[in-house]
Amino acid sequence: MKKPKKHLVFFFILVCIVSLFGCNRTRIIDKISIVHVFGFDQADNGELVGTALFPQYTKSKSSDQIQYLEEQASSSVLFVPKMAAHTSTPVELSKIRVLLFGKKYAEAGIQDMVDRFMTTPQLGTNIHIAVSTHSARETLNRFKKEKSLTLAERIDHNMQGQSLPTMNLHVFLNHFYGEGMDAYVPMINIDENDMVSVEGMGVFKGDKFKLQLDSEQTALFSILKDYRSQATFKIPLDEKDRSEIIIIKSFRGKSKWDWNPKKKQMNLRLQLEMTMSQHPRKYNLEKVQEINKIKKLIGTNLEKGIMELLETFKENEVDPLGIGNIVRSKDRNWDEASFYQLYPTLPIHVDVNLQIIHSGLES
Amino acid sequence: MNSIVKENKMVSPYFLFFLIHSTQTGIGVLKFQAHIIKGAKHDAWISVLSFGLLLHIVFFMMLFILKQSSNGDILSFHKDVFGKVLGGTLNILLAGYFSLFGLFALHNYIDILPIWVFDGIAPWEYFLLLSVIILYIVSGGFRVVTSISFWGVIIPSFLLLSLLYLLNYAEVSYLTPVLQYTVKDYLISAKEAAPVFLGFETVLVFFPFIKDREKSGKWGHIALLYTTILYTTITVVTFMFFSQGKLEHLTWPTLTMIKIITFPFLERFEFIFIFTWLLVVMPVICVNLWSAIRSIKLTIPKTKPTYLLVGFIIMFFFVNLQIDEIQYATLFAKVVSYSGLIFLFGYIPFLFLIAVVRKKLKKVTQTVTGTSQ
Repeated sequence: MKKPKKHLVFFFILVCIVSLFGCNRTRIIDKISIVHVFGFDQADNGELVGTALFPQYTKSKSSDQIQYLEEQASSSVLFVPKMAAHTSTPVELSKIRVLLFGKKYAEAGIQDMVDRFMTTPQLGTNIHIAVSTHSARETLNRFKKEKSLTLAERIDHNMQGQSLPTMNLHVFLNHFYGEGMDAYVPMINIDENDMVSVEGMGVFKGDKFKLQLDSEQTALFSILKDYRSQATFKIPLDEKDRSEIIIIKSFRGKSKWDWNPKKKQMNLRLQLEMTMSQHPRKYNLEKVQEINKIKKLIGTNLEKGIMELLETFKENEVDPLGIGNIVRSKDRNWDEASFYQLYPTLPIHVDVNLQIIHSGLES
Repeated sequence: MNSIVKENKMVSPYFLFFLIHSTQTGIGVLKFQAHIIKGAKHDAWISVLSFGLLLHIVFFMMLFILKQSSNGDILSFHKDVFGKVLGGTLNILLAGYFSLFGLFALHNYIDILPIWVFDGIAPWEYFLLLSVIILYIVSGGFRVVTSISFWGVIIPSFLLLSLLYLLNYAEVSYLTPVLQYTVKDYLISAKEAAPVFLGFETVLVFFPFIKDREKSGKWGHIALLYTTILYTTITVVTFMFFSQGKLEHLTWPTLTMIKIITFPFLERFEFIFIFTWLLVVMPVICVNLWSAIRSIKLTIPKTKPTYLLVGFIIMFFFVNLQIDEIQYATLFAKVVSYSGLIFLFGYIPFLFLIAVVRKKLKKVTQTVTGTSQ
């Protein structure tokens, strides 16, 4: 009987050791400071300014529930230790939902910061990265005043149901580092009513912020990029009469790019399915001719818009659509440098094929 | 020296599939894509596929060698061919090779835990935890080792479903144009892909434990094919998921890929991946350790396997503590990958040639004695 007891004691000690390890380190939700939004700016002396918003779960509802911290450091890695000096609980980066860059910093180049995103395993990739027209500090301050931590949700639903193209950190990094494409981000703005709004998008060239698109251009961009974009377009037929307007909402869109290596020409065929929300009374949608007329009207209007958008990209030498990548995948002799020399004068032929699937309750 | 395996210690032939497949998969699967793009970039999946298919020839050679040995394993073959002293030395070397592989798998797994999940926990704590499991499994004998490799294949298989989710973000244009590079580039990629395929050499030791040996070879081939298809699929999905420029900056592409999956109740899906990976790593450690112990046991008579096991684990513990520093990790990986390559493509063909010659000689002597009778 002696021998099994010895084994039992040994086993018991092992169980104790194993289970005690497990009890040692816990991270309970109200005992950590979970950063929701992190903003980056550049200070005047060249250092970085990091701002973060945390929710505070432990305080009562009446008091200020959002904690705001601002630190200045020479490297982004140093923010967390510096911030930890001000918080009552350890700072955790794992649930950052939005990374926000101030426009000034973004224009100066963010290569080193983006490199950090790649090497921080705590950071998710299904999170948003955005640029704010004001400094990130101001924007986050504005948020603190609004007492909301809903920036991520604001961007999210604008991508799903509105005109913002779908993007996240993963897509951003793919475009940022990839050959033959440039990164793009949603823009955050503080509007004249002092409210934070999601408005349009911005395009990078290399690691520098280059071009800002307004919401109409963003809508056009999203139907080029996404299969399921729900962008709304308005086509005014008569500037003076408010009822003389066509409003359409995109439902599905497929864009097909063809590269003609001999002529060095790009062909874009856009297959769109749209719903019509509003149209002038004079068009009777029960007649085929009238439908065709209205379709042609919309089609030419969209084509024109897209052509202008592409011209803007070419003028600014940015390629958020990844045209370079499309050519690379079809042309064995593709070379990044020589392609982008050609890019500003690259002819792109756009052809829109429109299908109107319904017009709501209007007839 | 009792090396003929009893019936009640054997396992059914189809377990060979699980044994071989589970010893091939390891931590390497989480990061091999970052290495293979060095040569043929977005075409590297071709290298993975062809390297995997090449292994069938090596496996065929292994089976041939095993057939020519007296007890059906490489240990008896060594002794048959090289005699007791030299053969015994080779067996010990082989044991060293297997234990190196086991240690490498263990070290790698312990290495990723602090990086991804538990920051600031000392490696020896993980080691103590894992050594309890290893001690239990390996001391249970070959059938327990087989069972862990069975579950080590079945349970992690559900993770494959996550690849389907990733196809949402797939960009097919990243894969084209196909066959853009020179042969040399593909060779470099194949060489970088080699470490993920290594590990199934243990079949040379445990093969006598498989029932119905003549017919079970096909399960080994199926396992190799499955591994190849699996790796090629993962590679293709990764290449569609990341642009090449981004992939160059990543060190753990599979885990970074999995990060995109989030649930309302679970922000980090890769945690599940890492913890389930214990089941993937465990068979590699256990089968290798078991093989190392068996090699020593059959070479030096009167050694107690349990003492050997405890000795190995203690040795692992100290070695693991010593190589904790960052500079050793890459060196260790290089040693393992090169020794594996030399073993598979140098030593196995060499033994194969000997086996062929021996068979011919045997035939000649047989016919000579036959005619003289």
